[in-house]
Amino acid sequence: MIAKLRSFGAAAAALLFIASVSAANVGEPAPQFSLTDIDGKTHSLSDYAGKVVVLEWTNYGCPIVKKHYNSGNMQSLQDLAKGKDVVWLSICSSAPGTQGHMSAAEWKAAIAEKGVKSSAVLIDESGKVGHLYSAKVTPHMYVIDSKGTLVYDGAIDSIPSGKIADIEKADNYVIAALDAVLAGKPIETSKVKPYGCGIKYAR
Amino acid sequence: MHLFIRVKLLLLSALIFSGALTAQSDYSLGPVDAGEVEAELVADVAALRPGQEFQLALRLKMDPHWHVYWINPGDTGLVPEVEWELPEGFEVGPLEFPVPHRIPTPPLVSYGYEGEIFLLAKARAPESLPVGGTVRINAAANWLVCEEYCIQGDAKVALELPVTESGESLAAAKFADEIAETRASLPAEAQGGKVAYEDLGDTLVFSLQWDGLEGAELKDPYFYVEQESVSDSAKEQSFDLVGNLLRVAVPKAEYFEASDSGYTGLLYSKNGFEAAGGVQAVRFSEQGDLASMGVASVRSSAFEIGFGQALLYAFLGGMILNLMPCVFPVLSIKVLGFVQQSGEDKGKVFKHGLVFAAGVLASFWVLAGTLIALRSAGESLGWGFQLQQPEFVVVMLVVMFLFGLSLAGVFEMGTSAIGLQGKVKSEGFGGSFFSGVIATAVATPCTGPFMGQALGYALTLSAFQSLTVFTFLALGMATPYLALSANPALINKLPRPGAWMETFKQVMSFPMFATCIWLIWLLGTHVGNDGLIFVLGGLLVVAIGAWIYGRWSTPIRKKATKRVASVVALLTVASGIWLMLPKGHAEAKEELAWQAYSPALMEELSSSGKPVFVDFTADWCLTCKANEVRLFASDEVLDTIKERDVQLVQADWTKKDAVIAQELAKYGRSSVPLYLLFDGKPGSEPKVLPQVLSPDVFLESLDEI
Repeated sequence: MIAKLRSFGAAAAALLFIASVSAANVGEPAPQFSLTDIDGKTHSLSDYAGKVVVLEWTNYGCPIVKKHYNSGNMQSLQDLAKGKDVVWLSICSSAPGTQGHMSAAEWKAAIAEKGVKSSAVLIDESGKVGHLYSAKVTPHMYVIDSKGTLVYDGAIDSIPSGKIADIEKADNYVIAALDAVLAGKPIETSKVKPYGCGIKYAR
Repeated sequence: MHLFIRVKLLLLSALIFSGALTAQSDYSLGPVDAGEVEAELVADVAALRPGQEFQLALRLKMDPHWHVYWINPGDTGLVPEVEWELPEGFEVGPLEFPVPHRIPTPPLVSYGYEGEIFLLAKARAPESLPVGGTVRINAAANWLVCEEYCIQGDAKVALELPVTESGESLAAAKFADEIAETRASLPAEAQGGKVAYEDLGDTLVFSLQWDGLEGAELKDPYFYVEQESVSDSAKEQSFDLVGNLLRVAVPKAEYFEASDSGYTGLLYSKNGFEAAGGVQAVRFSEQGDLASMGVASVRSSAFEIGFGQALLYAFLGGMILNLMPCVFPVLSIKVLGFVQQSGEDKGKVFKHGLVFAAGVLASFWVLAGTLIALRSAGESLGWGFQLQQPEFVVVMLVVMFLFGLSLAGVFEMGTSAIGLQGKVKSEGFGGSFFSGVIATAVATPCTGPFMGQALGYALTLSAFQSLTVFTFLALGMATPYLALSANPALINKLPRPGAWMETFKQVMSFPMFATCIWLIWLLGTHVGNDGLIFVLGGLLVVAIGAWIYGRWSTPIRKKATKRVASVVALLTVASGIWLMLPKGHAEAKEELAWQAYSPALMEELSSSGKPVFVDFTADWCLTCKANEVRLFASDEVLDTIKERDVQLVQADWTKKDAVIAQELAKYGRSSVPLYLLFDGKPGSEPKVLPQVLSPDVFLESLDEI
C-alpha cells in the first residue's frame, strides 16, 4: 500500500507539478551566454543581436558528428548559413579528459582539416551553456531568429542513423528552419528529438 | 518514427547465387572482430532440410561496459540494423530483440544491452532446396556501440549450412542453446491484454489490462515504450496495480512525438510473469479504449485516490508522530495539561485544544514554507535538516534538559518562557499554542516509516499541494489532543489531579533526560569526543543556573532577591549554552569499515560482481540507528557479509549533502533511512529494502540475489 502510494504519488506529482526545467524553450527568448572561442576571444549571444544564429553542439570524436562532417554535410550547411549572413556558433561542452575535448592547437588542426566554416568554435568545458540549453547529444542544433527567440531545437535531420547514405534521403530541419526564418514564415518543425552521442559533460 | 525496425530483404538473383564457385564477397564466416564488438552470424541448426524453419541470430558480444541499443534507444543511441542477403527462396522475419535494460550515462538513460546478446530472426528454407549442397547466408550488420563515448560499428558476416535430407548433421549448432534460451526469454505477447493511454500534458498514463496481472507481484516494474520520442527514459515511472489493471505514469519525452495509432510497449518485472511462462517482459500491443476496458479516466478518479491516499497517510503519520520517542515526552507534558484543565470549563478546554492544533499547524506551515522556499532556491535539503545544524541541537538540548530539571523538581516553571504547563495555566491560549509549536519542532526529525513516504511525496508536489499534505500531517498530530479536549467524557476518564501528579511529573523527567542523551550523542558526531566535554560541562552550568533560579527565585523570597536570582540564573544558563556551542572541534571517527558514499564509488561497485549494501543514514535518525543496531548485532548478518564479501557503503546525511539528497530523490525519498541492495551485475537496478529493516529481511534479500 505504501509503495503504491509512493509510486502513484509520484505520478500525481508528475502530472500536476513538473514544470519545464529547461531554460531554453522554443518560442521564448534564447538564454544569454558568453563563451571564449579557441583563440581566447569572448563571444556573447548579445554580440549577434539582430542576426539569425545557429548553435551546433559538437564533438569531433562522435561517429554521428563524423557522419555529417566526413560527408561534408555540416560544412555545406555552415557555408549556406554564411552566405545568408547567419551566425554559426559551434559549441563543444566536452569536459577536459573526455572525448571531443581538445587543446587550441588540436582544434585549429581539426578545423583546418575538416574545412569547418563556423563563425566561431566556442569552448564550454564546464558544460554551463550546454546545460542552460539542455543540449543532450552531438550534434544538437538550435536556431535563434533575429529577434533573439529560440525557434528550433533538435536533430539536424529526419533520419537518426550513422550512415552517410541517409543524409540525402533525410529532411534537413536546420535548412528548413533557416529558410522559414529568413523568409519571415513560421517554422513547421520546431522541436525534434536530437540524435547522436550523449554530450560528455563534466560530472 | 517507425514503429518497428524495417527489415531489408535483399534477394539475390539465382544467377549470382549459382555462381557460388566465383569468389565470395567480403562477408566472412565465423566471428568478426569489430573493435568493441564481436559479431557473428549463427543459427540454431547445423544443417538444413528443404522447407525447414530455423532461426538465424546476429550474435553481438560487447566489451565490458559497452552497450548497443534496443528498438527504442531511449535518450540517445541507434538501433542495430541488419541487411540480409539470402539464397533464392529463403524468407526471413524481422529482428527480435531481447528484454532491454536501462543503461544510465548521466544525465541520460538509454535502453539497450551489455554483454553478449543474440538478435533473433525466424527464417525458412524453400521446399525446392536441392539436397547435398551448401547454402550461404550473408548479413551486413551495423550498430552504434557506446560506453563513455560512441563508435559506429559494422560487420559483414556470413553463415554456411549444408543441406541434407533430414536436416541433421554430425556436429551440433554452436550456439543452439543460447539461441533457444534467448528465444524462451524474449518478451511474450500479453495474450488478451490491452493498452490504453491518456495524455495529461507532461505525463502519459498508460492503462495496461491483462488477466496475467491479476495477483502478480511486480518487482522493479518498468514500462518500455517501443516508440521513440515518447517516454523520458531518464525519469522514474510510477505504477499502481489494482486487480488486472496496471496504471503506469510515464513522464513524456522532452521531444515528444504523438502517435495517432497509439503506443505499444514492454512491461518489465524482475521476477517475471507467471502467466506468460515466467518471462521478464510482456508486450502490450493491442490498443484498447478506457470505456470498453471499464476503466475510469485518470483525470476523474484515480488521481484523486492517489492524492487522497497521500493525505490519509500524512494524517496517520502525524498521529503516529505522537508515539515517536522524541515527541513522547512532550505528549506527556500535555497529558499533565489535560489533567489540570479538566477542572475548568469544558468549552475553554476545547478552545485550548483548538489553539494547540493551531500551534501545530502554524509550525508545520512554517517548516513546509521554509522547505519549499529552500527547495525552490535550489538547495537540495531533506526533511530533518534543522537537526543538522549543531546550534539547533544545542538549543533543543538545553530546552529538553530544563524541562527535565523542572519536571524533576529542581525548579518550578511558573511563568517562565519554557514552562509549558505553567504557561498554559497562567497565560492560557498562548501557552497551548506554544506547546503545539514545541511538539512540532521536536517531532520533525522523526520520520517514521509513514512519514518518509508521505514527505517524499509532498516534496514532489506543487507548493500548494505540499502545504495540504503538511496540513494533514499537522492535523493528524493534533487530533488525539483535539479529541480529548472536545470530549469531556474522555477527559473525565483521566485520573483526578492530586498528589500523584507530582510523582508522575517527576517520573516524566526521565524520558526528557533520555531525549537529552540522544541529543548529546547527536552533538557528539558534530563536535567529537573532546567537544562533548564542553557540551556536558555546559549542561552542568545550565543545571546550576536552573538550581539558582529554583532556590532563590521562588515566591517566598523578597522581590529584590528574586530579581537578582533570575538575572544570575539567566546569565549562568546563557554561559552554559555558550560553552556548548560548537567551536570547530574535531570530528568523531567512524570505527566501522564502511566506505563513504560517492557516485563514482557506486558506479565502480555496482558492476563489481559483489553485492553492495548502501545505507543512507544520519545520526539524528532514530529509525536508522535502531535498524543498524539490530542489523549489525546479528552474528548471522556479520558472517554473511563476510562470506559473500558484501560491500558496505554508507551515505551519511547527518550533515547537508547535495549529492546524497539527489540520490534520495531518485528513489522518491527526501529523508533517511533508505537501504539499497545491488547485486553487483552491471546495469541492474538496486533492490530497495524496507525502511524498518530486520536481520531476516536483510538476509532474505541477500539470498535472492
